[in-house]
Amino acid sequence: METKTRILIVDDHQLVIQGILCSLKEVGDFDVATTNTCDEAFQLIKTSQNTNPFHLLFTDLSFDNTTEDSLLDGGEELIKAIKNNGINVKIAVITGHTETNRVYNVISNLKPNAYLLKSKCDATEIGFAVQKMLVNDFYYTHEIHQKIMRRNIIQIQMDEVAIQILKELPNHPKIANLEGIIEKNDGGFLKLRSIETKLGNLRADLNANNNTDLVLKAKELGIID
Amino acid sequence: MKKLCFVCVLLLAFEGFSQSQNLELISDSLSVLYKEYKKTRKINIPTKAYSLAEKTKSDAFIKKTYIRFGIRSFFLEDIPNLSLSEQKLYRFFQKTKDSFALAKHYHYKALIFKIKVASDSCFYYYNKSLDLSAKLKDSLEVARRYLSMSNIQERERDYLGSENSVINGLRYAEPLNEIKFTSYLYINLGIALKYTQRFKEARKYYVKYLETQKKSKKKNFDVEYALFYNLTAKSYEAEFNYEKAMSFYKKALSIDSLAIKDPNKYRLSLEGFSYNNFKLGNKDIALKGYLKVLELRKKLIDKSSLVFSHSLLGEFYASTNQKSKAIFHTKKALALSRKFNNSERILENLFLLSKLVKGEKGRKYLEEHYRLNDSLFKRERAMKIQFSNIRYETEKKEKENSKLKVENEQKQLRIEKEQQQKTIGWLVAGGSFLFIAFGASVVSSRRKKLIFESKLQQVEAREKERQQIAKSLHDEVAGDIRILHKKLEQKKFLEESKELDRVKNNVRNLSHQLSSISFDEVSFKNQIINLVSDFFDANFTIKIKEINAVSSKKINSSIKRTLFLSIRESLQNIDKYADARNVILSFSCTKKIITLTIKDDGVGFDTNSLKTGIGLKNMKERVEEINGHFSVESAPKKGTKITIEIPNNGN
Repeated sequence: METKTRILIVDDHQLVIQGILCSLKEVGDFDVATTNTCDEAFQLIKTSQNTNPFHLLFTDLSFDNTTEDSLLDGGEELIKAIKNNGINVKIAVITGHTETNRVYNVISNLKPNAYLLKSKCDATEIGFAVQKMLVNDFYYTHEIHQKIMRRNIIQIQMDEVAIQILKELPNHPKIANLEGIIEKNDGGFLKLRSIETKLGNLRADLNANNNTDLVLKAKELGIID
Repeated sequence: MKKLCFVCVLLLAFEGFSQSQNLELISDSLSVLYKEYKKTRKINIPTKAYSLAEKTKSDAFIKKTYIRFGIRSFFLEDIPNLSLSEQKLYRFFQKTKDSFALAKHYHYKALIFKIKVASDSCFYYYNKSLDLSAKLKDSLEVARRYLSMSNIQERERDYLGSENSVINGLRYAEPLNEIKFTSYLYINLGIALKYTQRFKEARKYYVKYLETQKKSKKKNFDVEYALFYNLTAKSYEAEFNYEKAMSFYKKALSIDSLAIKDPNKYRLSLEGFSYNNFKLGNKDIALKGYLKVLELRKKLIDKSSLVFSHSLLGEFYASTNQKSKAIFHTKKALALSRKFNNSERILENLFLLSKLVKGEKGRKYLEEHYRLNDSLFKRERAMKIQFSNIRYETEKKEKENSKLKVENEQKQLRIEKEQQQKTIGWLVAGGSFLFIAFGASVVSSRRKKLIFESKLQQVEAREKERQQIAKSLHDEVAGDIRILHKKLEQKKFLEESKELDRVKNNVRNLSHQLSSISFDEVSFKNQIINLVSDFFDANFTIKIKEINAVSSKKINSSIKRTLFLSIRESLQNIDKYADARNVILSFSCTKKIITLTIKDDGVGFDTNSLKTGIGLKNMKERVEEINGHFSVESAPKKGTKITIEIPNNGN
């Protein structure tokens, strides 16, 4: 017998919970539970772990209703607790926080499967996120994606080797020709393999399909002139 | 061109050649002049020679010429020229400070007095020259001066003094392995010993003379043997051993053609031989000899030796009772000996005359003899005393000098010691001062560090407080507002409820801003990147340079926090007001100071006219709180540059 996908929604605002519930109904047939506090949510996940585990978790980051008695005083703490306990549940963050710092911290440290923004959220997006999460893929809403990319741009800008590669790339028909041209910070030359790895990372960071696209994007984003 | 060069080289070579040739030429003509002077005794020759030598400008050459002609002037008894060369030498010394020239100057002065038979002055200058040469460590000159001095002393019958001088001279001469003067010194020593009745020893030194002379490379020693025989004979004669004396004179006379080789020695030998024959009663042989010697001596320019012949003839005729002849010769001898200042002979002849001439005249001669003997005796003594005084004075002076030297050295030592003690004192004082200063600086730097650390702690505490406030804002104020909001909603105050919701959101935002970041989890570098990416846009690029310099964990988190807040404030300002397209954040870090510059290409502002906004003021305060330095450079349309310098460890 095929079991329904079990979903837990945690938010301090009932309105938000209702909104998510509505959207989920549009997307499909799920077994959904809700709660207002992180402590409760963690208890629920833990207790149902062995009998009837949740598959997905939608959680906010900041909770206005935390008191001094609260053990977990926010979404980050909740996610951390789940990961520390080795519980296998796909996590989506649904929040209003758009400061890069927080976004970056959450994504790089906690690695949620999805990051959605309350302000831009609708049924389609939630459905998209659920689909991705169920196949253990990642979905970040467009604005977050932009933020991460912008951050990558800055990081690339600070990386002199990366800038060198991006500048030299259009001048050579073959990547192999770059060997002996790209200098490391210590004055030595970068090996072909390292150049290729670096290019791969750059393509991923700037969401580029190939090297030509990469150079175009870099120009567009003002990384190179 | 080549030709010209060749000519030049030739000319130069010729020039050099001609210079050396010039010296040679002068030297040649000087030799000619010297020979001429030696021969003709022309008084103007040395003056000519000197002016010629002075043309060469070679000091060594000039000096040599003065000395060469000076000594010749002495042999020729040319006093004006001798004193000329003596004066020239003195001027030469004044010009060049060559002490050797000064010593020679004294030497020649002594020679002048020697010619004038002024023994005491002569001795005095010899002594001065000797002292100087001794100081110059010129042993040969010293030995020569001692020899001359011993000659003077001998002449004045100061035999002990002479012996003393010779011994001193030998002390200098013997180590030199020199032949001429060493052997002369032996002779003088022998003569001095003979006069003081130590005949055997005297003869020993005569032998030594001969041995020394034989060391020279000469092949024929006839002249030396002649002298040796003569001297040895004289010593036996003085011992009244006439037979032995005669045998030695015979040996001398048997030397092949002595009369030609050394006429003087021949005359002396013949005279000695005759005298001893006379003493042994062979009067015919004696008279023949005497007369021959007289004949020979009469031919000489130097008449002084005639004294001896006349004296001996006077004695001879006295013994043979040929009174008139005896008186004639004795009177002649007396006159000559008076002329040549030979006091011994004067006495002898006076005594003889007193015996030969009867009556009043004879008595007068005797009287004169005694008077002269007395005065001579006195003079001798005076001379002896003077000689010894001169030597004694110098020795005393030397002693005083050495005493002064010792005193000086002691003084120097004492001064040095004092200086050392002073230096040590200064060093100790300096050391202790440095130590105190070091201590003080350590204390002050520690105090500064403590103050700095306490300031950093203050900042941290305020950060905590901020978080606390944020938390309570979030939990309590916002919570209360929420309850109020719900109540209003229930009672349908929609307007108020909406307003209250806005207030609640404001409070929440405020609380978020206050707490914003916790610094322990994310590295400073990432914090800055995150911050920058919040502002970043394709039209507003922000570059970060050398952030790795500051991301080290060694840097205090409060400093990082201040930098972060400053950057956020600046970026906000630039974003809001500057209308800039590019911003550059540069970090740098030395051992002592962390520097951050934030540069934009925006509209800029006049730093004088504008009232600093609260943002800039806050930044400045924050930086200065941790002993940092904050400065803004800007001008309209020129962009803005903010520089923040924060000490790394509170100093």
